[in-house]
Amino acid sequence: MLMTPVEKMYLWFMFVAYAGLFLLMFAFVFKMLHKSRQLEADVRRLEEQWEPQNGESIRTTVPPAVTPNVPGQEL
Amino acid sequence: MIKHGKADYGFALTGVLMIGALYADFIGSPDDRVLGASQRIFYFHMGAAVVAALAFTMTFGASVRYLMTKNVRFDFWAAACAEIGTVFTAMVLLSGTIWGRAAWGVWWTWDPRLTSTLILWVVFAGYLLLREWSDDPGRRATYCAVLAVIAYVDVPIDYMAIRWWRSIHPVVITTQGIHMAPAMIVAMLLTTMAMVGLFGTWLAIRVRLLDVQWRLQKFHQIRRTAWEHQGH
Repeated sequence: MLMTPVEKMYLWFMFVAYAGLFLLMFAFVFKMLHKSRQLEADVRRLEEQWEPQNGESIRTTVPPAVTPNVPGQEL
Repeated sequence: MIKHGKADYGFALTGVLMIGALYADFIGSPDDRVLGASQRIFYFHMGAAVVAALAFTMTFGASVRYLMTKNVRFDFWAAACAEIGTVFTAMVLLSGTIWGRAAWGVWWTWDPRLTSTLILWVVFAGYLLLREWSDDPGRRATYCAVLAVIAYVDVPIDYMAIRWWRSIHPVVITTQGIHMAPAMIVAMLLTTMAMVGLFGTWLAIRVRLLDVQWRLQKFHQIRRTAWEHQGH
């Protein structure tokens, strides 16, 4: 089919717009895929690191090494 | 070694479908007798419209399920679908105005189909704003679910608008079939499939992101509670 130069240009413009939009969406989803995977791994690592400590107190039953010799309200 | 998930396969399939759609739209499909090359805008327009309808229907389903079960995962699905649906509705409106300029000679007209689509976009944009404004996750999810159920009423109205009222918008799919040349139907279907593929992949990623965000929030909350419990 014969096309005028204007029609040809219009078709090319449309092709570029279409392909550009597809490429843009594809790149966006690709970037999101990587970011989401990285984030998920980070959160899982955090959860795993926290799990053994969870519920444990840093306070022990060992008496304090330094006892204050000034009587305070609590003594 | 990189572990490939469903999202990777969906992503690869979408890429192949996109290339196929571009081929079918620009090489396989002929020019329209009246509209010429502008007919090709329609393929993109139709694909985006199908995805928008699918996304909002899923938002509606997930919102109803959330209201019934109060399971936060349904809220994630509803939110992700609404976000993507709003983006695709914007694409429908934009491609529609460009096609309308070529076909009708005007960028916009207050036709029932066009107006109901614009209303749909505005309502779901409001839904997304509502999600941003509220800090309480439970209350936010409930309000948004109710809004999504009400907003969904516009989807069947939008679909039926060209059948119920006088409209200049063309009716492509009728009970008698699709009124287009076979090569054009192939182009339309391939573009629609590519867009549905993109929607599926995007949705899977978005839901994963929302889930991770929620887990992180919960983690911080637990840590803060434990910290306070230890007497700090």
